[in-house]
Amino acid sequence: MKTVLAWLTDAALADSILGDLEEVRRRRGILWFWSAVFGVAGYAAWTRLIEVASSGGGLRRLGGDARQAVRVLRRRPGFALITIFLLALGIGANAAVFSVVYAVVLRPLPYAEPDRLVFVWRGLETRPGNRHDILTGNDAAAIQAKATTLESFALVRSWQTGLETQVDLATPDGAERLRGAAVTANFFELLGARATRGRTFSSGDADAPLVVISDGLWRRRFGADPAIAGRTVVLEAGRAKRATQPYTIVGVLPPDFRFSYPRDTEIYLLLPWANVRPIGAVEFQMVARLKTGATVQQAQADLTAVAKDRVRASYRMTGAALEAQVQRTAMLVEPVAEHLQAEARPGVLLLASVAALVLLIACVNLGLLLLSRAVDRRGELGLRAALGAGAGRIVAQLTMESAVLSLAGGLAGLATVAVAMPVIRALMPPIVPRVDQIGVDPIVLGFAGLLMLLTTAVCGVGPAWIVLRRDLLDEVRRAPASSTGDQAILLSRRLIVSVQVAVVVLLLVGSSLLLRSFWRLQQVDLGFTSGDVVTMETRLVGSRFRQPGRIAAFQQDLLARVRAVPGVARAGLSTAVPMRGVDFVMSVGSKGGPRQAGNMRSVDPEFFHVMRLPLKAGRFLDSRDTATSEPVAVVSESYGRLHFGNASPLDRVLSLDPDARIVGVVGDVRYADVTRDPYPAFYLPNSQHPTELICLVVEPQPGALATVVSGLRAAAQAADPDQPVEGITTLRQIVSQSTADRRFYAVTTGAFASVALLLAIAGTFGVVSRTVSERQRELAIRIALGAEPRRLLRLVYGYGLIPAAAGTVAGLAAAYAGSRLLQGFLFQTAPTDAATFVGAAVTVLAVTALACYLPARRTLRVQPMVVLKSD
Amino acid sequence: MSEAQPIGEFEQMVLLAVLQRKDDAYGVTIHEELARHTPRPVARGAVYMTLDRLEKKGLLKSTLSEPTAERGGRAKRCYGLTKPAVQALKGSRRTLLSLWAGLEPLLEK
Repeated sequence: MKTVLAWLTDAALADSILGDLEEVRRRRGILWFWSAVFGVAGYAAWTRLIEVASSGGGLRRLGGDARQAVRVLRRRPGFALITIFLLALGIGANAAVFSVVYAVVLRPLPYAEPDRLVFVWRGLETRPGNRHDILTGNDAAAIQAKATTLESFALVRSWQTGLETQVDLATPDGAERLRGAAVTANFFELLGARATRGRTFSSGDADAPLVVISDGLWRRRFGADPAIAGRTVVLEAGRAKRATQPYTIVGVLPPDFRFSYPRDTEIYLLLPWANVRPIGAVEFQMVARLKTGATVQQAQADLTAVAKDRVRASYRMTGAALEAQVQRTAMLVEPVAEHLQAEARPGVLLLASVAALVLLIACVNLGLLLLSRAVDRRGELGLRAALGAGAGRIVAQLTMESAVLSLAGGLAGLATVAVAMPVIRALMPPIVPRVDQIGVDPIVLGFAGLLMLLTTAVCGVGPAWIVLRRDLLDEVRRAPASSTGDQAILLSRRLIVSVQVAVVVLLLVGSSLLLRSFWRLQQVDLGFTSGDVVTMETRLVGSRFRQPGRIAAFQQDLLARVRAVPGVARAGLSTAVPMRGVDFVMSVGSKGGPRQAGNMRSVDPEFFHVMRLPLKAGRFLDSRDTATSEPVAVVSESYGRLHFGNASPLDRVLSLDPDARIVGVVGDVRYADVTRDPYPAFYLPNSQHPTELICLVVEPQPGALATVVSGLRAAAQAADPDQPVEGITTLRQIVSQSTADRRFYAVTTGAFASVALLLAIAGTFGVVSRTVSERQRELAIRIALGAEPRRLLRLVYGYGLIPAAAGTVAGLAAAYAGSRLLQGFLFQTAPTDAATFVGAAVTVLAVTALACYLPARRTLRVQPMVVLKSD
Repeated sequence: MSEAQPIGEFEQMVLLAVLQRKDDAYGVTIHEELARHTPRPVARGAVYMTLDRLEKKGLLKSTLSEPTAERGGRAKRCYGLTKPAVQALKGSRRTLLSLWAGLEPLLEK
């Protein structure tokens, strides 16, 4: 890259530019560095292009070369079309993938100085599967008092943290549940976000009932009312005491402002600093701005020291126990951009790598085509030399032909991508953030422009090499001949076939591993039935539900109405739907035993039957378990093993309020994620532990799915029209969504690998065909001298299979070395799975043999006398 | 009054950013200074190409520092204004102030 920059500017300037970018790279990371280098190079290239085009002589010459190139290409339309198609495929695929990479990974976040914004987490593992947790008021107070690396911080309590700030908007049609967050007054100022209407929160707002809304909510719910600032809305919001009260909308955020991904926060309430009391419950997300010059590592060390000091000063422990607690205490500081991209980045970069390999194969195929064409044109090029054209002029004209092809192919590819962009966005899995920003914007166009320059250079190398490596005037004097005597060209073709095959093997191994892994994922026993079970969620609003008796009565009424909907076979309820939302975690132990964390689910007896959980011992919860009967519980198998080892959990007592006797053991279920082992769980009767969080699970009769779905919302409305309902879907769709990212990456890499395989077949077929054509005389002589057909076939197959075999070995070695990089994407599949490697090798060699078949057949039909007489 | 060299809007901004940064005017800090004052994103490539062009026009002079490990073993190129640059800025400012004269009420609307 230094050479390219030096060519575009000058060596000294290029050096100092790279030095500047290296200095910033230490703060902003390697991905930023390369995007900045490409940005500067692109701008410099554009500046130089304008300078050349502006000079009269340069422009005239460029125009003349371009017209000549178009004339030459029009004489061979088939060749031109194939070339343009290959380039469109390679450049288009890479432009599409880059548009995703740029939107998801490289585009700066819509905040002021985003590289100084970080999330601060507790490093204790307090929740299953998490490596960090949100903060307590104590944490925030300690950081406020003692941290030295933070310029400022804001706190957020949101629907994403799992301790939802539920915000329900009262409307004439009933309550609407909004995705809300409560934020401290300095939140928007910290991020550098300004309102497009009205204002955001300010330090003078204290604890006033104010809200700021998203652009999307403003348009959807308020008709983009220009007088929105100052309007009053009635919300039910807050946590412990849900109060319905009027709030004033003070402002609307810009359309591109986002803080939560992939689903946007719609409404922001003011979280008064007075409410951030030093208490021990985890409830806040902290977003902070580093001081200028402070690094993430320095901040992490600083905040960890603050946290350890707090533990020493405030925990009621001494000696070794205290020291152990101090050792375990850590704070994690994570750049905001990294956090948002964390889940999606590996997959997006995988796709970028695969697309680059496909482009490589397309370029290699093109190189073959153009090399062959340059060989054919040696006579023509020699004639130009005889008429006075220097080597440099001829190379310039050949480069212009490559440039015209690259430009045409690139534009065709970009046009296809632009048309297909809505489809590309729709195919993105849910974990990919900022999907709405994926598009063909100037940066993507610039990247495509760089690719066109690259392919021009690559496609022009072969012909230029032909021109420069021998005396062209000699070509005019000699009779036109084939290239069979030119060992360098033969070797080049074999090398190109080997390189293609190696890349195809690499892609086939990778995509096969991903597809195999995804297939294994589909076979996982979730522990419950998915299928057409319909789910619906609601969280009761209204002060009348503060009493458990009212909640239980509502639940019974709702269940009765749902069971009466035509087409419903069974209906039950729980506090959690698999793979969605909140699953309560409680640390509970048996009487006298240690407390261990487990999922707590409050369910009605039908839940077990709708979900088809297997009964392992004892009984399910049933109608005997009422509000006034003995408190009971059912535990999962893993919960029983955790607390009681191999002993039966039946009749043991769980320390709850009140204590509950275990009456049954059910099979484990994968509730959080298909790939994660089941977490220990216990089930309590909803009649004894009613909660306002209600997740209905409904089994429809065969063929009645649509009827049940449409009837559920009506049943909920009839029970209480003020209760917001959401999440009406099926378990099958939920499970499918949970693996959507793996499916996407497996299918996409498989598609790319298939395209690469087709390109490689075409390339190999071309090489073998051409070699057979060029060697017709030699083959004719061999046949005339009595060579057996079998030997001739071996010779022809060898033209393709020998370089393919070499490429296969190289590809397998590269796949073996690199497949560990796929470990994070694989499920129950070893990255060096032997069957996959063998399968890829066999496939590639088989299709290579297929590509050699037609040329081989043609060989057997050679008539020696005809060939030899034609010489 | 000697004739000052005409300079474009972005060239003026770059020269002023160099002045603002005093002894610490190099690519990174000049870009930061511009980003702080302009509502639109500023392309780094534009900054470097403009610095190069201004140096070739004789409006900027540059000096190289010692290479440092922080910069990957590369020297830092620091910029300073030449007398013609100062003259050009003064001339540009005089022209703009003269054109803005009497139009202050427009700014308050």
